[in-house]
Amino acid sequence: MLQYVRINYFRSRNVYIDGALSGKTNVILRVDEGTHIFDLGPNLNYSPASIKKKVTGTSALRPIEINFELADAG
Amino acid sequence: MKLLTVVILAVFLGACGSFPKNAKLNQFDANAGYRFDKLDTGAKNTDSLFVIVVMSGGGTRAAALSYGVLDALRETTITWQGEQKTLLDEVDIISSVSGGSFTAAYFALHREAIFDGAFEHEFLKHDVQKDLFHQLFVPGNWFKLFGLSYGRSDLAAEYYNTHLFNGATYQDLIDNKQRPFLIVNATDMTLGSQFPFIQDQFDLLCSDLAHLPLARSVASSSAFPGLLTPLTYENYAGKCDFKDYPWVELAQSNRRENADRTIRADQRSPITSHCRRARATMCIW
Repeated sequence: MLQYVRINYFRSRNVYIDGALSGKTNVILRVDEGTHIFDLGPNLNYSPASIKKKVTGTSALRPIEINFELADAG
Repeated sequence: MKLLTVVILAVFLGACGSFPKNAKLNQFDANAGYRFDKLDTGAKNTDSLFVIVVMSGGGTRAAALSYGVLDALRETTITWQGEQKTLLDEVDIISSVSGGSFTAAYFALHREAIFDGAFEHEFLKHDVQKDLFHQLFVPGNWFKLFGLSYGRSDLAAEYYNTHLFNGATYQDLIDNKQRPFLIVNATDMTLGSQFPFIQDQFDLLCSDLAHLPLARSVASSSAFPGLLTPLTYENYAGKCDFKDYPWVELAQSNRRENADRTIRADQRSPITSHCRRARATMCIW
């Protein structure tokens, strides 16, 4: 069953799910039910480097939200 | 003595009749080859409207039905995001099997030129079955068919390659650079599983799909068991530094989360397993 996720970041950039380019940040994306690894690809100027999350029980109106932040420059 | 000479000659020449080998992939590259995400949407296609066309089997009738469906999509005008277009402009993926694969592959190669008449007159309204039958009486083909790894489907593939696809390969689809993305489906008879002709599947074999004639994938897809022989593909697994995607391990380590995903993951493993026979043989319908 399809599940819904929203990857939050302060600006729009690519989202990689399990290593495959799968869409953009800050919009709702569809994904297979199950555990996935989310990251924003290169450049690695965000944190954390990746997030592993089980995605289940979502809907288009209630997606799982996954948050990335700008990494500290120092 | 003469008979013996003929038999020896036939066996000798028969050894020449082997299937054309699929190309080896020297280095796995997830960003190269025939992949959906490497194609542009095209001038009139948008990502906001995603259309998948599925073409089923049933011989020439299925090919004709698929052709009719494409024609109907072409005649269906829509207004999407303020732009007038046809539904055919918005087709992103065509997935096909057996008879439907002829129309699907021809459309992926020629786009709207499929309606110019050549496909209709030279394939749909042409007695291809009779032509294929006549191929069996060409003496040069007898020696090929003596070969242990060359069958009637290989002969059919050669015919389609010459008469329908003019030698086109998947590289031609890569060079087109635009959707729709073609997925010709066959069955791997060693696993009993789906075998789509896309680079993601050929990565498992460490083989380069780009060099494969479209005709060969279509022949694989339409090789009805019993009537036609299976086509053979070389499995070079383990020779291209292939590393499978993280979702496969995630699916196999969390088996209860999504049974469908786990099945898809499990179907990939035997192909890349070093324990597997060196050759993948596929029977398709």
